[in-house]
Amino acid sequence: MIGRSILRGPRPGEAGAFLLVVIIAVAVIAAFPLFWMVLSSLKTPAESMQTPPVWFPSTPNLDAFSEVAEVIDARRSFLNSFIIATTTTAGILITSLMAGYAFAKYRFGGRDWLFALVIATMFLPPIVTLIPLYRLVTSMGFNASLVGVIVPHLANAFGIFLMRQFIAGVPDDLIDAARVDGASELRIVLSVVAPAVAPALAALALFAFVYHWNTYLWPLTVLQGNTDGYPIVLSLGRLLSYNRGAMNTGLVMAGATLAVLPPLVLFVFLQRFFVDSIVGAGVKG
Amino acid sequence: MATLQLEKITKSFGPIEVIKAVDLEVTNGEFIVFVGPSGCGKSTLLRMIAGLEEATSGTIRIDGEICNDKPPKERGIAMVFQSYALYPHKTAYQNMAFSLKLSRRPKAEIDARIRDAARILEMEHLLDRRPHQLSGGQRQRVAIGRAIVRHPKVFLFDEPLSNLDAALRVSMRREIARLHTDLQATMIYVTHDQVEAMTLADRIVVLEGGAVRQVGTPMELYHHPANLFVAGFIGSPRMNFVEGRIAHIRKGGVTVSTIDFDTVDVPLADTCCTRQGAAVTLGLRPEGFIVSATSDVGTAASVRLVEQLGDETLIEAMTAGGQSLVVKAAPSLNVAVGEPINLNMNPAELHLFDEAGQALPRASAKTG
Ligand SMILES: Nc1ncnc2c1ncn2[C@@H]1O[C@H](COP(=O)(O)OP(=O)(O)OP(=O)(O)O)[C@@H](O)[C@H]1O
Ligand SMILES: [Mg+2]
Repeated sequence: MIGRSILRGPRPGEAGAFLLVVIIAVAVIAAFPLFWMVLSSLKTPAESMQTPPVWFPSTPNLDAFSEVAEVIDARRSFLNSFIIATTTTAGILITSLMAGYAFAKYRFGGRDWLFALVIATMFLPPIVTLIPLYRLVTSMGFNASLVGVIVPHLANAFGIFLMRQFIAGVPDDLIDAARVDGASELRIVLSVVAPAVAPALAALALFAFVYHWNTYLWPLTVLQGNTDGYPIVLSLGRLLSYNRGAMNTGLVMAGATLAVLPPLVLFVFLQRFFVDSIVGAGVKG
Repeated sequence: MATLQLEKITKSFGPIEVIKAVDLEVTNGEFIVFVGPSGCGKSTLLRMIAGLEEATSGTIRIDGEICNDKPPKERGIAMVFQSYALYPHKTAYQNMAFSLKLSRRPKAEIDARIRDAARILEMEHLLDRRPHQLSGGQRQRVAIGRAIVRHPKVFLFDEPLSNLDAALRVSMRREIARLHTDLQATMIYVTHDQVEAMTLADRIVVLEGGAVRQVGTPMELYHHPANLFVAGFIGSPRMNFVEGRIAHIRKGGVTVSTIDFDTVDVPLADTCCTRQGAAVTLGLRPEGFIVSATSDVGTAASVRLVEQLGDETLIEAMTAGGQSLVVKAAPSLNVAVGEPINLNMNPAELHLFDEAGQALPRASAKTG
């Protein structure tokens, strides 16, 4: 995103060149662990343990990947991850759109206070709410289940905030026109508001999906060792502790490589939308 | 096509009353125009008729039926917005189809209605375009088309032409007039463009500060403004006002003494509501002056500004008493800034307003 605007910038002079170098350096630093991860997953166990480290595997092989499937129920873990990430994302999109619409376009008493309250929850570190939330979920009987992992995250303050800001930019006349045309409020949200804020929805979908694909502490807390419910990220932990005496780096890296694939694919798929919406947000101020 | 009645309609936003007890009776097929300065409540009133804004008190009847609590879609109205308010991600066709789809009309009927509206508005070739691929005038056509396809009882327009350039405005204005003749529908139209108001309206409603100041045909408002506000608001350039006092009451009129014009005889239909010595305001439109550069009869004034429009010339002149007046003269009159002219008032064109700004009944029976 930054790279794009630099490349398109009006003066690609010395300052531009310097910035470009910085950006490339940052990108390399950020990408290196990923690169190392993929390389390591292709090495033999001996190669991964060698010092000094071997850069490229002499005989790249996928043995580690098949071993992953032997240690953990990878299919199950992926399915769990998918269930958690997609339902949570869907929930966030729906609740953010609805609540954002209400906060942006309805006039009702206490609206601004209520919105401030929602925003305030963004400043609570998740670790603070971990135990109370856990007790709540347990008391609802969702303990050690995927439902328990999912339910508390079906709505989130950031999403509501983001949607409110974007929906505020949708002209009132457009919504009034839809009302005159006979659209119900739900129809207005789906047919008029949602298409108008589609780029923001795509960005939110990406954020939410990646976040809930990668989330670790909360499922670990709720699932209480119910490994059948483990998403891939938790199962990676099991790879780590498997064969405790000598850690099998290749195995762990193979698992990790598999785990990052779905969010990566989603990112590539939504990338255009995502970049556009953030740039758009900047222009709108 | 329908009638519309507003009874004692008020609207408050918090403590501020923006619409004050508006009464209005609109007959079937009538073209009503709301005019008034910015912020006088034209849009608010229109939105209450549409059902987009709730009336604080009073009743709204469409076709005799009270519809204060009905949502917009049940009122049988269609509205055209100043900003067009087209759905940006839908094509022109889909924009027009939206309301019909929502009311679950059969596909064939939807298509027929859209083709029909497109033909009336001469935009058949635009149906597949999205709003961003259309010019301002074309967008407004689609917006009007979206209203037409619903076959509403009442059309509501909120300054539909104010985003268009001057030439397009004139042609769209004519088109709306033609549309009204063709559809014979009841239409309510908000504008602050006088020409639009005068040319389109069967009757004009003049609003000021949320209150109706006068309702009447364009010619009634022009020739018989009920008060100073309407007199000043309708007509361009605006009416000149000269302060004075009733010097003498006689049969069929009064004599008003002024500083600059000496005494002026004003014919009135009825002199009962005046008394000698009362402060009054004389009103005279620019064309009501007889302007001369040569004669020395009348009031002397010096030319401050000359605007030659070709078919007529507007002159801003200042009297010895410091009164600024705008007068209309024949284009043959040749005067330059700083030169003296003589002004005489044509008594038949005079308006007289009492201290409270209410018009005294004029003698001339000229009515549109
Ligand atoms: N939602 C609102 N909350 C508070 N005040 C409002 C609201 N909508 C309108 N007003 C006020 O009501 C008054 C009338 O507004 P309205 O939009 O009807 O004016 P208008 O005659 O249409 O003006 P314009 O010619 O500029 O469009 C204004 O003083 C405006 O500030
Ligand atoms: Mg308005």
